[in-house]
Amino acid sequence: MNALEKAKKIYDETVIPEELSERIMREIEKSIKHRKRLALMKALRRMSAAAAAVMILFTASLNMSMTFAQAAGRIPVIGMVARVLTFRSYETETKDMSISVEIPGIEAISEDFGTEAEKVNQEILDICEGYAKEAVKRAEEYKKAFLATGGTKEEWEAHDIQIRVWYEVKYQSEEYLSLAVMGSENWNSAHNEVRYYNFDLQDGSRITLEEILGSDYKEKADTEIRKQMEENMKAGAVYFEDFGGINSDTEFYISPDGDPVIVFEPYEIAPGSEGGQEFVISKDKEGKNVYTADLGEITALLGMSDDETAGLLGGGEENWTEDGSFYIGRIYNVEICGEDCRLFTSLSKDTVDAVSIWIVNGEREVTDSEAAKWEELISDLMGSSPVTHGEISEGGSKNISWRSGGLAASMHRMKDILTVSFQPARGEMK
Amino acid sequence: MKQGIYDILVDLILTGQDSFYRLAYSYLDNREDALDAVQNAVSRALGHYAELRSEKAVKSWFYRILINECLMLLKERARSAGNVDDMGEVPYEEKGFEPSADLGNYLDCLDTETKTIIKLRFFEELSLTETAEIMDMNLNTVKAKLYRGLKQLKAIIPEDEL
Repeated sequence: MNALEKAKKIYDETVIPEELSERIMREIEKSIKHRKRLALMKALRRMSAAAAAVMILFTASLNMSMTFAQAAGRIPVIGMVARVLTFRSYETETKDMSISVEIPGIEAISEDFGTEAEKVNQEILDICEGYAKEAVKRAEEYKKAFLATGGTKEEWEAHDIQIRVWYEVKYQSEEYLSLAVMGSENWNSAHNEVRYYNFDLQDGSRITLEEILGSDYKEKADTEIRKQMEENMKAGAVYFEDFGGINSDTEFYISPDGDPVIVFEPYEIAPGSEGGQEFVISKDKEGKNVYTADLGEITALLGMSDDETAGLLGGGEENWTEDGSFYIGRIYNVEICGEDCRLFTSLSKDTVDAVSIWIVNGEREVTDSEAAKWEELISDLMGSSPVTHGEISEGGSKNISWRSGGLAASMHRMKDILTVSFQPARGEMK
Repeated sequence: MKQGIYDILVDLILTGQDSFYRLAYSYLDNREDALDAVQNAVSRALGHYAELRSEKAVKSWFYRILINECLMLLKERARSAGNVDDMGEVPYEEKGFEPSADLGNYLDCLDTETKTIIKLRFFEELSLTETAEIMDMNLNTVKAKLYRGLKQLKAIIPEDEL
């Protein structure tokens, strides 16, 4: 029916106002905030009243950056289920010593993680406060001994005793959280302590080396450690001869690259003078196949079947919904214009109808120069200049888009997220 | 886990926003109203997604909400214009009014349900099954209404426009 086809054409050419995307974002942001509030209230209800009061008090003075994804193309299923906050922090100065204590706590947003997080937070709290108390006692005993053996008050005051308890988030991704809690006394390094807490965020459990490296984790790790020890010894390092390898108690944390780092305390495998020892075990020794592509090749993915893209980019990971019932598309690691990116395809009836490139995904801040570089790359590809949507929102997000020749592109920038999306264009943009 | 449904919903909203706007516009013929309809539908959906049991139902569920928002807005419009018209076949003249295809006027001769079915099937290119889910009707009923609707259109559209 010709009239019907005509009508469809006009329907398809309906002018989409720029305001649309902004309005929708507003609703989504509202909704996300609301859910976070609900989740936090749920978590607070489960804690004891006193602990909850402390949490609120310290949370208020904290700079929390919550990242959530905005993309015209798609949102990959993200489960940011935990944050590390400073739960308790104080500084004291007496005439004998100065003490600074920062105790972390894990705020669990997901229900799965809630109870485990509570237990761990209690453990961390006990350990930190325990350490601080012990350190103070040790310092006082030291003072007594010092004075008793003829030291003068002036000499003591010159000591500048510092006791510190603090923490570092070693690594945080959708999958893992690695936290290190440290205690040190500057006059007595023998009593310095570090504890590591590594979590699998998918189910909220403490993660073991076995889970990260596989069932032959001991072999893998020992071989790698011995190899590195050999190389270090060539450069003059000294180790005890009887290195027995790691065991299930061996401490580790996860590096910013996502690799497990095995940690040995001083005297464990080497003389105290060598200090503590750390060995990075790279997970992917088989060599990740890095695929490179330029933007043109990425846009060519639109319209391809799922199998075709898998063939081109080495399979990637299948992206299913959390309960495994719905297939969204594929996730690839691709190097685009010199940057390592995550590429998400979105399928409609088995053909790709949207692609999203995640250039920066919360692991660092986006720089102005890189945002400008990508803007230029896309403008070149599209042969046109972008249009800015709305104002730069409170979260500092900037959305710009292009439309030309049947293709729609958009770039979304937040403080620590940078994504680019491509879709077939429908209709004409004003 | 509900997290899955929420993410799918947000994903659907973001990827489909242009389509949703076009559909709303086809009912309301007015930019502000169409924006309102989509925004309200989004707000409603995000607030009530807990009602959903299955991830597969998200799309039809959202379309249903959107269509209801559009029909409600049409009713309100009719009421405030003092026009006691039926089911929203109100031609709303306004500055910036872009007349839809000639077909638009002919479509108005059909009942709301059939009109919606034609829009979903031909303009939004949804499958018959999806259309039936959205309309909350039996698949055969949808087919019948669609067929009858097309026949009616054929009858009223003058020969030279076919």
